[in-house]
Amino acid sequence: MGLGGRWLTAASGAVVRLPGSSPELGEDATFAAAPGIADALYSALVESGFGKV
Amino acid sequence: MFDPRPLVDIATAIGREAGALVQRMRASAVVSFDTKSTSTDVVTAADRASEQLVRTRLSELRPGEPVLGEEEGGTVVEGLTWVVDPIDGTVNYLYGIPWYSVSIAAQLDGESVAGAVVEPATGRVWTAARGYGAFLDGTPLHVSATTDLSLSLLGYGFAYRPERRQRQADTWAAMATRVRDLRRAGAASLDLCSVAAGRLDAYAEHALGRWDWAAGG
Repeated sequence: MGLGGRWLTAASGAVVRLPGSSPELGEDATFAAAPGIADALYSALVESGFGKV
Repeated sequence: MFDPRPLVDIATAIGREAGALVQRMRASAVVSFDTKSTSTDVVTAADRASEQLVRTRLSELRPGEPVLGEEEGGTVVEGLTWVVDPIDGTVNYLYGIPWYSVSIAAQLDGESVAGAVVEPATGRVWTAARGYGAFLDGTPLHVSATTDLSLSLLGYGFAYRPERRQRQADTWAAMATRVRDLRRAGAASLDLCSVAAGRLDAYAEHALGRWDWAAGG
């Protein structure tokens, strides 16, 4: 997972994707997650239709 | 080498001053308010006063540097731009729920390099500077060590438009069976800070403005 930006949340070790960086989640999606669940959560969100709202 | 830490000090000082103003104004500010994108998207006199204070202070301390604010607008330029959310979580502010913030970030060529998220109701200050870590009142922050999605606590938010909100609700209903639980607290900047502190394992939302994530995201 590429990072759209690294900031306060990212500085603490989180995986962060900012708007425009993850089309599967939607062009205006913001996503931040602990690295241990980031991939699984990303997939679950895509499967749940998060990117099509 | 560029050192962003002095910019954190400026964001913190101005954020604290704006936060104090926001607190003083609460009783009067919530009596009369306007709406923006929808009837549920509110702006109070305190939002406007807070942004004006931040803009004035930045013009004094950092003359000539452009400001992008939620209420008065602006653009992000090459070089340094200040990004301001004068009250993030205005609906919480309106209802007296203490989960709202003043968020001020410095972005260099569109990337955040320094910022502060101030909680007016508690006085807590979340800060970060690129290359120097993230802190809550000076204590270093660390994201949670969870590795099991089914045991994770997920924060989320809603857009303002009703039709999009319905689709989002369908998504969160589907996600509710895949995680420990969901939390919708109502201030994106602080929700992102909560991920930084391990108080949430993750956060996801659509339609945030740059001012929502510039200091927290």
